[in-house]
Amino acid sequence: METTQKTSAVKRFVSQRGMGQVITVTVGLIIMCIVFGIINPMFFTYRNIANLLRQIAPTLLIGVGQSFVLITGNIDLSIGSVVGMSCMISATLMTKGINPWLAVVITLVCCLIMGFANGVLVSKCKLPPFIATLGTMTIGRGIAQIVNGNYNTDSIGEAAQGFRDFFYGGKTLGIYNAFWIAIIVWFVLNYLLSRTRTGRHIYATGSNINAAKLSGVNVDKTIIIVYIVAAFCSCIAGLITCASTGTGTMDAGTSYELYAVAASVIGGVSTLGGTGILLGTVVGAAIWGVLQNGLQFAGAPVAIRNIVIGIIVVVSVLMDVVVRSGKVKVRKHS
Amino acid sequence: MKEEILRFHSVTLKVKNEKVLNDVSFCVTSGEVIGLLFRNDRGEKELKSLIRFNSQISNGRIYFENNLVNNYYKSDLSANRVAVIQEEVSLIPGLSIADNVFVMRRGFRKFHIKESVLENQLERALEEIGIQLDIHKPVERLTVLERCITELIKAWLGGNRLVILDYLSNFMSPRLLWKFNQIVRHMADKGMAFLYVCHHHEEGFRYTDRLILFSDGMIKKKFDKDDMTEENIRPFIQYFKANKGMAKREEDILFEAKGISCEGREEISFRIQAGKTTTILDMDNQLMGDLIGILSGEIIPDRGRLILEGNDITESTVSDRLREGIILMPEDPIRNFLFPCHSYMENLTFLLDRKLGTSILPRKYMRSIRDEYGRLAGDSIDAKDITRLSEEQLYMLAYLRVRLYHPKLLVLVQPVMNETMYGRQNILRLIEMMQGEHITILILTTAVSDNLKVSDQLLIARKGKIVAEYSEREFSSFTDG
Repeated sequence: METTQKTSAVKRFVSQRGMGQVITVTVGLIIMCIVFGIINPMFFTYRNIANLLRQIAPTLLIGVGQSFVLITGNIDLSIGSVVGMSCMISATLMTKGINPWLAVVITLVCCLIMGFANGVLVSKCKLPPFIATLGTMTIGRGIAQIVNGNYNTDSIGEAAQGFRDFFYGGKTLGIYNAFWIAIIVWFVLNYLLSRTRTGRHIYATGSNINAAKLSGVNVDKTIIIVYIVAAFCSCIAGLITCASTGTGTMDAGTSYELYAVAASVIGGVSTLGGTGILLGTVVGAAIWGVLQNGLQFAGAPVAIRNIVIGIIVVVSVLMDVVVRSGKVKVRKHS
Repeated sequence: MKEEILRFHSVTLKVKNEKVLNDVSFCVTSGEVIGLLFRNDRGEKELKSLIRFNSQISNGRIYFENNLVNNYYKSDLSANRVAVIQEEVSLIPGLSIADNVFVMRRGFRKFHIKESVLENQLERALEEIGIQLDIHKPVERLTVLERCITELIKAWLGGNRLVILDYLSNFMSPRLLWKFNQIVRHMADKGMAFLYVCHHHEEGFRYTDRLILFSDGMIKKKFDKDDMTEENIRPFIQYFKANKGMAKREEDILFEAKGISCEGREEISFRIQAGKTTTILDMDNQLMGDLIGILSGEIIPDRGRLILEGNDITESTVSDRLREGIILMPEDPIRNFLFPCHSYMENLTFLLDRKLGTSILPRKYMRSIRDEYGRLAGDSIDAKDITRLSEEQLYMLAYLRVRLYHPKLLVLVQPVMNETMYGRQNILRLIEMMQGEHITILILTTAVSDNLKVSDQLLIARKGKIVAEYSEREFSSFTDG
C-alpha cells in the first residue's frame, strides 16, 4: 500500500508540467559534474562545493526573477542595472553611517519602485517589454553611478560586518548564507507560482492573454507583480554582491540580465511564455555556475567558457521554439 | 451555350498513404454557382488547393477551361486562373483601388504608371459590368461589401473565370450576404463561374444552382435546384433535436439592458428570461462589438442600465462580471478561452478559485471534481498537454469549465461559426448540456445558422438596435434575407 502511494507520488512529481526538460538538464548537470570531477578531483572538495553554491546564489535569484517575467511572455533587461543600483545604494548609505538594516530597507524600496515602473510601462503604457526595460536598464545604471557622485564607494566598514555575514560570509549548517537566502527566496516564490491563484494568473497571462482577460485575470496587475518580483530578486542579488566585496561598485551586475535569461531558458522556461517551473531555474543556474567553475578548474580560457555557455543558451531556446511550434496545431474532428 | 470551366474526373488524392480525396468527379460551367458543403474537413483544404494549383494527384484527371491541366502521371504545379474571396483580405492597403485591380496582378508589365489612366479604365469597366463603386475611397476604408466587390472586379478584369467564395458568412452579415449574392448572380450572368463554399445547407440551397455534399473526402450527394429540400438532405446530416423540456422554465426576467449606448450610438434595450436561451441576430454587424464589450466588462456604456436579477450592475471589469455570474465565451473558444500550456484539470478549474474565494484549491475539491467530471470528459481529464486533444474534446473542456462555474448568464459569441456540420452538432449538444443545468444563455451572432435549434427567443438587430422579436413558435416566419 505504502509502495503504491510512493509510486503515485513519484509519478505525480515526474508528470508535472515542464518536468521533462528539468529531468533532462539535471542529467546533463550530473554528467558535467562527473566530467569536471574526473578532469580535476579538486572539483568535489567541500571547499569548492561550498564556494560553488555561494557563487550560484545571485544567478539563481536573478534567474527566478527573470523566470517570472518570461512566463508571462515578457522580458526584463533591467535586472543587471537593478543589481548595480542595489549594490551602490546600500553601500553608499552604509558608508554614510546609516544603519545597515535601514539601508537594506531603503534599497529594497528603491528597487521595488524600479520594478513597479517596469510593470507600468509594459502593462499600462503598452510599451514593448524589450524597449521599456532597455530604457530602465540605462536609467538604473545611471542611478547606480550618480548615487555616490560617479565613484565606487569606500569599504562599508566594520559596522556593517553583521550585514556582510548575513548576506555572504556567514555559514548555516556548513553552507554559506548567500545560498540559503537564495533557496528561501526560491521556496517562497515557487510556492507563489505553483500553488496560488496569482501563480495561475501568471501562467495564464503568458499562455493565452485574451483567454486570461476573458477569465477575469487582471493582466495589467499580473504583469506589474512579475516585474516587482524580478526587481526584488535583483535587489537581493545586489545586496549579496555588496556584502561579498564590502564596497559598492558601479558596474556591479553588468550583463546579469543575460545570465538570468540563460539560467531560465536552460532550465526549461519558455521565452514564448506560459511554461516553465522554478525547479528548472535552479538547475539552469547550477549548470551556469558549474560550467564557469568547472571550465576554470579545467584551465579553459574565459573566451572558451563564454562560447560554451552561449551555445548552450542558443540550443536551449532553439529546442523550446521547435517543441512549441510543433505543438500549436490542434487535431481536427476525425 | 455554356462553356466548361472546371472538371474533376475521378480524382483521388492520397496524403501519407491515406485517401483524403476519393473518386471526386464534378463539373463547373460558366454562369453557374456551385455550392460545396463539407460534413467534416477531410479533403477540404486539398480540394481547394487542387482547384487553384496543379499539384500531384494519385488518380484521375482535372480539366480547366477544356484543357487537361493535371492528371495522375503529370502535374506541372502551375496555377489555374482561379480567384478566391475569403475572410482574409487580398487587397493591399495604402494603394488605390485602381492600383490593386490593375497593377497588383500577374502580367502587368508597365513601368510608368499613370493613375488617371488606370482610374478611367476602371470606371469604364465598372460601367460596362454595371456595378457602382467609389473608386477614390482608400482601400483600408472599404466596407466588407465594397472590399469583396473590388476583389470580384479584380478577378474579372484579371481574366479569372472561376471564383471560390470561401465561407462568406464568416465575415458577412445575412443582409450583406444577400446583397453580395445579387452581384455574384449578376457576374455569373456575364459568364463567370463560382464555387460557393458554405457552412450550412440552408445557405447553399438559397444561393447556389447546384450543391455538392462532401463527407470524408468523397462526394455523398449532388443536389440540383429541384432536389434542394430538407427531406432530401435529411439522410445525410445529423439532425439535432434540442431537448428543451429538460430545462426548468422560469418566466422571470434574469437580465435586462435598458437604453444602453456607447459613443453616441443607438440605444439598445432587451430582456432575457431566466432559464431561456435568447439569440440576438446582428444583421449588419453594428451591434455585436459594443454588446461583447459591455457584457464582458471591457466597455463602460455612456448611458443606460444593466440589470441582473433586479439589481443594477454598477461595476464594470471582467472580474466584476464573473463575480456577478456572467461569463462570456468568445468566438473560437479553443483559441480564445483555453490555456494551451495548462493541463486539462487546470483549465477546467481555472475560474473556480474566484467562485470559492480561495487562492489555493484544496486537494479534496480537486479529487471530487476529477471524479465527477471524469465521467463527462473521459480519459482526457488527465491530459497534461491539451494541445494533443481533438477539437471535440477541447470544446467539451471549454463548456465544462462553464458548467463547473455555473454562471447565471452565459454569453456565447458566434458559437457555431466556422464549424463543419459535425462540429456544429457537437456544439449544439454542449449548449443543450448548459440548458440542462438551468443556465440562462445569450447567443450573439451575425448568422442564424443552427442557433435557432437551441433558442427560445430571437431578437433581430439592425443598424445597431433591436428591431424585431420572435418567440420560438414564430421562428418559421423569420427570414434573414
